[in-house]
Amino acid sequence: MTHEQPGSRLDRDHERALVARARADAAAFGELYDFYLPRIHGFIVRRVGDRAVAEDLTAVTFERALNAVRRDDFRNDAFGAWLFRVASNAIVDHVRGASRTIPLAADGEPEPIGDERAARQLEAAVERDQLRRAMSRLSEQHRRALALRFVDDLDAEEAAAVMGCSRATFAVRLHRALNAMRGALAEEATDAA
Amino acid sequence: MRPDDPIRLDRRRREDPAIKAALDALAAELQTAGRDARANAAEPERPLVTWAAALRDRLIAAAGTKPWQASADGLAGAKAWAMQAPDASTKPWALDAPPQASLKPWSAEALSASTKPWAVEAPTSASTKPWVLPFLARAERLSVRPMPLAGLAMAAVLVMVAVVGLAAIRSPGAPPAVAGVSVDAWLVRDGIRSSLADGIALHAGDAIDVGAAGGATLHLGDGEARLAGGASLRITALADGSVTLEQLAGRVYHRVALPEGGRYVVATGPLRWVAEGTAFDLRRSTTSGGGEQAELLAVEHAVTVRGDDLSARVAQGKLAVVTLTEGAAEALDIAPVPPELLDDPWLWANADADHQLDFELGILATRRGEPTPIPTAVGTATPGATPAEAAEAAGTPAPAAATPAPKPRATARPTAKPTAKPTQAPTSAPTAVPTPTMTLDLTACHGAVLIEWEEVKKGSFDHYLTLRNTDSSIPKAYPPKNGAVDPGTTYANDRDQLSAFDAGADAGTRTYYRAMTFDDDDEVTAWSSVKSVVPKDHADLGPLDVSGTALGLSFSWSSYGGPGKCFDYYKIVSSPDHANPSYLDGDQVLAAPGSQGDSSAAGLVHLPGTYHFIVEAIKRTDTGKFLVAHTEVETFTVLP
Repeated sequence: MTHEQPGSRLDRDHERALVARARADAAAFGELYDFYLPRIHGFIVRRVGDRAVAEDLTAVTFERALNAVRRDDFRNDAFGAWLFRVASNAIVDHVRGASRTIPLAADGEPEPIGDERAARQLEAAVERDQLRRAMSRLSEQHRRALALRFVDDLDAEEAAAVMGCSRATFAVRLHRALNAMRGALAEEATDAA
Repeated sequence: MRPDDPIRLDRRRREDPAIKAALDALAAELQTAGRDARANAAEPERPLVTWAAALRDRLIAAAGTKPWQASADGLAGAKAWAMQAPDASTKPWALDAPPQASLKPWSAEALSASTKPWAVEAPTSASTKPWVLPFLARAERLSVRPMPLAGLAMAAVLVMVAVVGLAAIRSPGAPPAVAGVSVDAWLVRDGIRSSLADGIALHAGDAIDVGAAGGATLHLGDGEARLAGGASLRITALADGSVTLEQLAGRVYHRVALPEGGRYVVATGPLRWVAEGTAFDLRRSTTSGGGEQAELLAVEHAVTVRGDDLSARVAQGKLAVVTLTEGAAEALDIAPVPPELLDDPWLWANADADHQLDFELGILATRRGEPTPIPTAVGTATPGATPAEAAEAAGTPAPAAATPAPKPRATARPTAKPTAKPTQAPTSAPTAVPTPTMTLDLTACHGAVLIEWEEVKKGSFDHYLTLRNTDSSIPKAYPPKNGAVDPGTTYANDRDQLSAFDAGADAGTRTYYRAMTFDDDDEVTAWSSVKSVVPKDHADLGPLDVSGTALGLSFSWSSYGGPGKCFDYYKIVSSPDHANPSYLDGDQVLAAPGSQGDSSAAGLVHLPGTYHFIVEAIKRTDTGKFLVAHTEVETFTVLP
């Protein structure tokens, strides 16, 4: 596959150096914060749909990051990916805590929250009707992989961290999701015929 | 083998080029859709500039009190951060920000973001905190003798005269002051910070800072001041056989041994602790917003505490807790030390060190007689003996006292009398006393007790939980026993969750807590010592002023004056039908100013109608949020 690579990223060596310095140098953590804030905030707000909640969870994510990078035993190999995982966990905690007060959408159905909410945004943005319907047929796992890759613009390492698997496993999942979509698209075409 | 395991792929089989092309086309189409999805939702996805700056500010303020204060380079780094103006144009989130005109509801604040002084406010200088004269509110079990100011002044004059007279007769000179063994400790002399070297002579004006995992021993006369990790101590005066210190932060065990007639005084903010006997353990913790607590355990003989309008004696075996807010003593509580608090490696280690120096051990004599594990001798400043407990007590560096030194008393006479060792009475079947393995830090925020602990890295983990009781009996068990209760808001099932709150304790009643870690079988695997705090009711932000202009609604209120540690943001909340709207109950939020000093917001757009408005100050923890303070409810009609 040759699809477009995710957007701008910190150079890996530079990021490692920043994380190493952040233990004793606030400016280094500031640089990490400045770079990741919009991506983390967007990742969260896409899943919770509420700016105030997103701000809370974003703050939680960076506070945990600050505490973590200052520990001697912090594993400094993929900070960005780790950060997305922390954000993802914060969202899961929030969803669990808010399970009794899920807001209703206009149609009276519970409004999706979490990765499914991001997946629906991707689905809504697909222009081709057939493709949109094909996506709606996919399993939750496949929709999740597509959302992480295409809506959140995560690279394989970041998406793998969120899904709790290896990069190779995520690559497989993404490949299978696209394959499943191709199959669903073929079924859509058959149904239409 | 899991279905998604990549090894299941047949790597030798090449994908059909047609299929590969189809997948690439699909990926490209989804790539475009994803970009559109982000663009369509662009505004809510972008962080507000002012919020982002406030969060950055808060993180740095929090960071400024922790490890990089231990190194000169780190401090410089923190200052460098603080000096970075929040130049919105250089931040990615600022570049993404919509034009100022569309920056509702915080357009006004956004416009001024680049000129706000927040950047230089970040690591607030500990020494510039103004202390106001304390007042004293009586609390239960209070043992205080308020002294009329006039009487105090008269006494001070008499004491000064007496001291001057004595000095003319006898001038014993400065007691020797020398640094002992230290780890991760720093000497600050004439503004220059250097590693504290063993054997270096100390002078008045020197300050000693100890890193979070360090420790230090100072030989003062024939006694010692032993600094735990995170402690900071300044030598105010060394003269006439007397030692005057200022304990700026953290925990220090003072073993006093001076020539007859010498005085040993330790200041914590506006309070002066004067040794009548020979050993006490003093810890000072403070919150970033100015709240402070000083705890003194009189280990051997008594200690007198004095402040403005405050004088009390802490007898051997008693624990004195003084709570101050913005320099004012809210309460002094003196009570027998709970036995659990003596299960403390720091105290055992100090008892061991005192024992080796042939000092009497006071209330630690029996404790030391037990075959409890003593980690290491703190007399040689081994940080390993204390880190968890010391860090517990350390908090953030405390503000230096700006109040004038108290007038000396001519009659102070701590004794330096090495005595025979207490007889050890080992039992035939020694039983190790379990040691607390978790830290616990309590802050009496308005509206709830803020509960914090450090991560427990070892052992099986399922969740953290903190129990509450109205007395110090909190067994390490679940379900709770002996009257302890589960507050219901402290359950944290992630090792990284390190804070919680309890809004259910009675305000004004001393309340005790113990934090614990549980495994999958609900067995306790780690626990803290029992600590106490006096909860407070919500703070009042006064009336809320609402007005409407062509640009939208404007709000003004009194900013929250409590500790910064107890504040995260305001919420301006409205409801058409709830007479008491509440953010935590899900009513509509118009805006969320994130700076504690904020007291107004303008240009907020609201649908026409009659609404009840309130501004609430909220504190967020890892297990939930609580209401800290609120304005009165204001009902206002928004015109079309």
